[in-house]
Amino acid sequence: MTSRPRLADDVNFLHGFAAVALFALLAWVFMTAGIGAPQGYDQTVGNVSLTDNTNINVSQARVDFREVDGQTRAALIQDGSVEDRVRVVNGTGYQTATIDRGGEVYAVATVGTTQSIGYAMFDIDTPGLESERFLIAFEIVGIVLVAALVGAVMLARRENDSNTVTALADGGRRLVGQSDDGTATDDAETLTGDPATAQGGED
Amino acid sequence: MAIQVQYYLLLSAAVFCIGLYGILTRRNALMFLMSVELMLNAANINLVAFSFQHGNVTGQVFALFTMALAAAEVAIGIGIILVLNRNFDDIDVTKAATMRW
Repeated sequence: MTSRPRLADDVNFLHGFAAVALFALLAWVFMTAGIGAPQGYDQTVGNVSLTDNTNINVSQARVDFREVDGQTRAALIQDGSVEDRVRVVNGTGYQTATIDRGGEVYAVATVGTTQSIGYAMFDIDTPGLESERFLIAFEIVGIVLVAALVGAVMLARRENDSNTVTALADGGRRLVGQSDDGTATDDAETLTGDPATAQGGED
Repeated sequence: MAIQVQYYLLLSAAVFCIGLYGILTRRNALMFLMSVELMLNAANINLVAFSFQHGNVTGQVFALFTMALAAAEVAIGIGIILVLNRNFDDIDVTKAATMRW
């Protein structure tokens, strides 16, 4: 006998058709919605004009922290030859890459997406991708997870007349000679010869 | 060239409707739980897709919290199914028609 997955045919397909119809409706709405192009997590800095006023000298390059699209980013200009990677050495945690804007090579420093998620989760004030603050949500979810753990243990515990019953290590099989109401039947002893085994589900 | 957000929404709708199909047609409580998880994850796809659309990470962080809530929900759901099996000797959701037994 094979055990391959099979399509359940003992179901009400008429009800299931409602789900298919909903998908058709949603697909039609989405494909005709005319949503614009995604903004994405832009790794380049647009319209940057570096000034010499606020720059920080970083190993023969200049870095400028300024607001771009409402976010503070660091743009680092490297005069001269193109470098694949430019490292900001003052420990600001920025990722850098070089871009070519009209023949002028810029090294652009941004904060990574994963980094930004971490900062948003713990309300850390570090320049990164724009986000709400989530520290309170983080704490609430922590409490909910603990509550769920307690609830799961409470539901899984079986208590009969103040006797706490632990799980049986019988692989989930119904014990031989045990009736549906949990009491051992007469043939239990004859089949197993061990009353403790026959009544193991209840004690 | 970034993928248009419509295709993420289409994927999300497909996952959601597979979950809905499971809820509408199956009677096994475990299948119910799996279907609800599918629907929840469809919402997560939407959150991440619109996060990408708007260029901020709010949706991504929120999706992380939704996953944690989904884990809590599964823990309680399996506990309820255990009690269902203990009291009705079955996990058919149509058999659990009374609050007391």
